[in-house]
Amino acid sequence: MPDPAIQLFSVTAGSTEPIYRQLVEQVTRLVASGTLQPGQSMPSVRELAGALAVNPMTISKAYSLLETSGVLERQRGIGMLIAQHSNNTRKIDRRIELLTPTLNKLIFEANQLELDADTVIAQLTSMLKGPAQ
Amino acid sequence: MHTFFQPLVVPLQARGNMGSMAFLKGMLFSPIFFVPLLWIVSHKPIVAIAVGLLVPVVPLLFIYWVTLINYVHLQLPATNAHLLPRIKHRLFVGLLLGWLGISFIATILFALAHWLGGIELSETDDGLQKVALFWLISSGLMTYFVFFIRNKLAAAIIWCTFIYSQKFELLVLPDLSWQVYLLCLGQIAIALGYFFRVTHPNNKRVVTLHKQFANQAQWAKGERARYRTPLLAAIDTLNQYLYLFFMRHRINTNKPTLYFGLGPLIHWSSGFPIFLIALAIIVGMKLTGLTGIFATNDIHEFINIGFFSAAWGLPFSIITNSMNAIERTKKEQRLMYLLPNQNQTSNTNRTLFRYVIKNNAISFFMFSSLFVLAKFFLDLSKAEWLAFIIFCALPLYTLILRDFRHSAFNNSKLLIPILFYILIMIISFSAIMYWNLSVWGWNFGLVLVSLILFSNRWNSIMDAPPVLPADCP
Amino acid sequence: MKPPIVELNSVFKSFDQHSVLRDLNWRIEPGSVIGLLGRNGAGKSTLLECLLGLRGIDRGSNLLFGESAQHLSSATQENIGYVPQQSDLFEWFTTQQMLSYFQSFYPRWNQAKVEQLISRWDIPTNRLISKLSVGQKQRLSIIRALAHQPALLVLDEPVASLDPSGRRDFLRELITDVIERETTVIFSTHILSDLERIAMEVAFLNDGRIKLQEPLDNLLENTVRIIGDTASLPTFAKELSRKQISAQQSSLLVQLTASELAQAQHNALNIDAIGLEDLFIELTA
Repeated sequence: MPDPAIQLFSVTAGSTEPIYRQLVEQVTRLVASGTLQPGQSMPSVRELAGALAVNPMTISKAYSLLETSGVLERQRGIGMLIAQHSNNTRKIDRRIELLTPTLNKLIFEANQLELDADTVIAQLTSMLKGPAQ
Repeated sequence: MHTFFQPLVVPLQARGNMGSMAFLKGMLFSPIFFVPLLWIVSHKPIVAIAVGLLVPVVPLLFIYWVTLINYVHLQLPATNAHLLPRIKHRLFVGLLLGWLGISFIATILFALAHWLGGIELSETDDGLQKVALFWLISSGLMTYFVFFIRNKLAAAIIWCTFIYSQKFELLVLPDLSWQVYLLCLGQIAIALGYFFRVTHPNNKRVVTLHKQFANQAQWAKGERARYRTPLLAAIDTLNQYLYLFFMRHRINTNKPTLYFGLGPLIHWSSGFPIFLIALAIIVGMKLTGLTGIFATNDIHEFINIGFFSAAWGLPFSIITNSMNAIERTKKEQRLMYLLPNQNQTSNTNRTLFRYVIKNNAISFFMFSSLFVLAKFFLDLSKAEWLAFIIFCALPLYTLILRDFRHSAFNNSKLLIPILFYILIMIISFSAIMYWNLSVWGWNFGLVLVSLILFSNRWNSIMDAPPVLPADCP
Repeated sequence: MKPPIVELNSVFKSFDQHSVLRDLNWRIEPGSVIGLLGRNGAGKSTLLECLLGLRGIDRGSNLLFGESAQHLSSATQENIGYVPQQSDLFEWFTTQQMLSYFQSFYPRWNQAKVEQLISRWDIPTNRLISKLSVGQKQRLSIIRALAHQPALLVLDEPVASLDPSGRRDFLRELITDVIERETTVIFSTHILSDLERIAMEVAFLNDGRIKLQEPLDNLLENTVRIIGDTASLPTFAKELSRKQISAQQSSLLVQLTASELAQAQHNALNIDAIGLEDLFIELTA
């Protein structure tokens, strides 16, 4: 019986990011947003590889990295599960950490366009706050 | 001026990966080999030198012409008919030069053959007349070999009629009757007619041409014609059934190393229907002879000669067709190389080679039996046998009757078969006129030559070490 | 450490004075899944054929499973599967005949798998191969290569004629069956998306040599394009290409180490990550 969670994963070939990294980020985001609950089991390497049509070694690599970073944990006999203490990922600093690469990119582009910090912050604030109102 | 001469010069250009300079040089230096040989044969130094020097020129001229014609045809697909005006000009010039050149060479050969045979031209009154006639005839022949590549049936019929009407003894013309003149004029008319047809196409003609080209291209690859007449389709189907019948039984006997098949058109069973027809004709002729249904000897002879040329030429055609088939199945052979448990002792895949030898041996014996039957059941005169000899060489004509489009700029590919062909013809004529070899001997000589050619070709195709002699156990 | 499955050393191969492979060196370890990339006419098919011993080489050595590729033992041949670029082979056989014919050579033949694939890919068994569609012929070639469960699978543009769902299916087949069994897979393809999904390593064939062979992930992560003034562009340890794009500017393709990356960012150089397609174009120019 295929794991319904498989539907959540997708990868894009042809992007500048290797597939394993895409998976790592995807899983991390899914856990952070609460779509994947702690204790939920992940599809097996074989299953996911077949579903995404990706080399199983790539899936393995992603899983290993996720295990090292504490997002997943391995349970003998069952396979990979979302780590229990990945409640931590819901903490704010952890989530900010996830946003940091994008922010770095923003800063870089701002520098290239020679925009000063205040202008950028003002624009960012208006965009973030605008739709919420 | 430059563009005018270009198509004349291009065929001989050997540059880069388009042809072999080494081979071209070899061709041009071949007199070193031919002159002594002819000296030994004829004991006439001047003759030897003259003919020996001429030998490389003949194929070169032929190449020029053939390449030019086909170069032109390359630019003549149905959609490009509007490009014709330029092409007409070149084609005309090429035709003229080629025709003149080749017939000139043929005339010289003819005259020299007389010398070789010890006949002085001045002895006979109409010696020069004969030469002129021979000039016409041979040039007509050359027209056939190039132009009628695409109309073999017409050429064959005319040729047969020619033989029939003349009791033709090549190179020793007793009396030439008005029929011959008529025939030659007819040839010229047809050649010119064809020429104008090609260069003044209408829409219908353009479409037909397109179909012919497509068929030629397919045949050159050893595949079937794309546009088939009902007759061709019927023959195809018959061949297919016979072939599949044999193939199926082979698969069941589970001896894969021996029964790898070639395409259905190339297998020995493709000659089987003709074998049956030939057998029927032999029996039929014997019966008609016995019962006297057909009184005239002429028809009898005609059937003899026509039939034998078709029947006897077939195994060699199969051999040369096999070469094409092998070329086509090169990739398959490569794949076969990876198959384990084939009990190979040598380091290349000989499975197909063994099969083809078997295949052609069967064809050869099948038709030899016809030949033997004919020898004992039918009486052919010496003249008929001579005409028959010429037809025996017919299958070797396939060496030159091929689609040159693929090798238009590769001189070695063009020159090798032509050279061999010319060699064979020279040797044949020498054999008939000087060495007085028997017909049987000469025919089997042809077989040997065909086999050698075949083996050589096979090796180069398979990219393998040579079959003969180094590989012999 | 197991010996390499493929070992090509200083291989030279030319056709009629046109040299295709020049001093080519290539090693492939068992279990790798490697994609061979190169421009049309670069000699990928020739390389694969030389690798398998289907073509003779002019100079150098080509070892396959430790044996000379020209003299393969039956045991080795049983372990090789090859899908050639041309799928129009054995056209006078019917599907069933062709498979039976090949089956008679191989002691190890997974008939169940063959039947499963035939029915899944909808290939008629009693029809002449010449009458099949191109996609069906290509699928048949693949079945023929997979049927005897080889340890080495060489694929020369195996899916060029298949539609995207056909390709996806083929990839799945490779993943679940072939790669699971740690088969060494070498394939050449132009479909980079497929390659990215399956290949762990890529090798670029350019100028008659394997110009670069790297794990794919490393390549994508570490390779960047830097554009800047020719004068002020620093040199890096692993530059893949450097070319002038305008009077003052140059474009660099480099594989950066972590420290080099930090330094480059510090210097506010214009850095772009690069995808496989652009990499291909740059490296096979």
